[in-house]
Amino acid sequence: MVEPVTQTNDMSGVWADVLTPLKADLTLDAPRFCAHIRNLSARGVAHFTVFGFAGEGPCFSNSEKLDALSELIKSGVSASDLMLGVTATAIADAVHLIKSAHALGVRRFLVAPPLHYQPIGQSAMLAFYQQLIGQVNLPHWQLYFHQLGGVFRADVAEATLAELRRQFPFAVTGIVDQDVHPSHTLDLMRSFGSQLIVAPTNEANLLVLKPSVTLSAMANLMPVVIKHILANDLPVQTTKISGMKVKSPDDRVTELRTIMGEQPLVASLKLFLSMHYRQTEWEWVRPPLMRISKDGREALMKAFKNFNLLASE
Amino acid sequence: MNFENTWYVIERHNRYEAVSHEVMCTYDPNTFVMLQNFETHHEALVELRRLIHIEIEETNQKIDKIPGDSSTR
Repeated sequence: MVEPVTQTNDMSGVWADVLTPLKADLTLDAPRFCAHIRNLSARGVAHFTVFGFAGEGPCFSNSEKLDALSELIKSGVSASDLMLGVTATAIADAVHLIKSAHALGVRRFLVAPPLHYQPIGQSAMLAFYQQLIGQVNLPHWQLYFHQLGGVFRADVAEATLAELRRQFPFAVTGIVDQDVHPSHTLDLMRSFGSQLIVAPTNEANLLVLKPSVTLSAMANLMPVVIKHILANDLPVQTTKISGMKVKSPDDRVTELRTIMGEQPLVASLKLFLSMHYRQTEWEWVRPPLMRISKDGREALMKAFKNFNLLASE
Repeated sequence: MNFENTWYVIERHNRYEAVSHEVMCTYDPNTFVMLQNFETHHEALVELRRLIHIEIEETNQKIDKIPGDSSTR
């Protein structure tokens, strides 16, 4: 049964930025995808972003995304618990994907800014989103801007966000901030916190920002830990042994981030997940993303074994 | 998702087990870790078998690396 989203401020909690499993021929492994989301759900995660940053969204075609969505919904995932990553520079492709997913019951769309051969000015950015929203022209859909952060130089400026919110209050719902700097997210919260949902993605910033919602790639591995951090529900110091410290959930996240070091995030998380499930297939990433080098892989695997991720995390 | 009639592969007391949701709910949460959830008992058993085979393979590899003692020379 498809449940349409009707409220604009009902997004809260942990939204797992779901990794996308591949087969050896680099096509999407739908059964493994459904199984992973099922496992996350059994571990308490209720909401999922698919084909976002961690889900290698730009590497998949519209038809692959729609086929996977159909499989997920058929497997029992409620469409109202899904957010779909939309990354397209051609407006027609983005509109087609949103309309087709909307027909399946999906209402939340994480739309990344368009990328082109040269930096895009804010007036062009405004025109892109105006065209997109106008052409989608559907009831009850929610647009979340995917702010990619400093290095991409493709963010929608605050003035543009404000203008789009003014023109399309029925669709413009939130901002997902991929920037690693908490000050960037804090600025967005100060400017739009009362009108839009602002969801940070960097788990290390959650205790500082205290948001009501996060999109988390780490939730693929340690969903319970991320839930504790978001709820600011940190363990009390139970040991009385002098000098012995109980590790808090955010310590575990920092530790895992440190292990990854300079290695690519998605490939590292997939390697760790392959170890957690003991399924080597999880290691595959689709080009242009790169797999981790042989030496890097061995070092990561050794460090992850020492990290000793508990299934209860 | 409704998990009431589903099956889990868990690790409990250093052993893998395939248990129903009903049974798992009777266990003390601090005594086991949930690895995967499955819709059917059959799927859980297939995964259980796969994990046990991996353990056996890894144990065999470890044994192969141990230098032989004098009785086997």
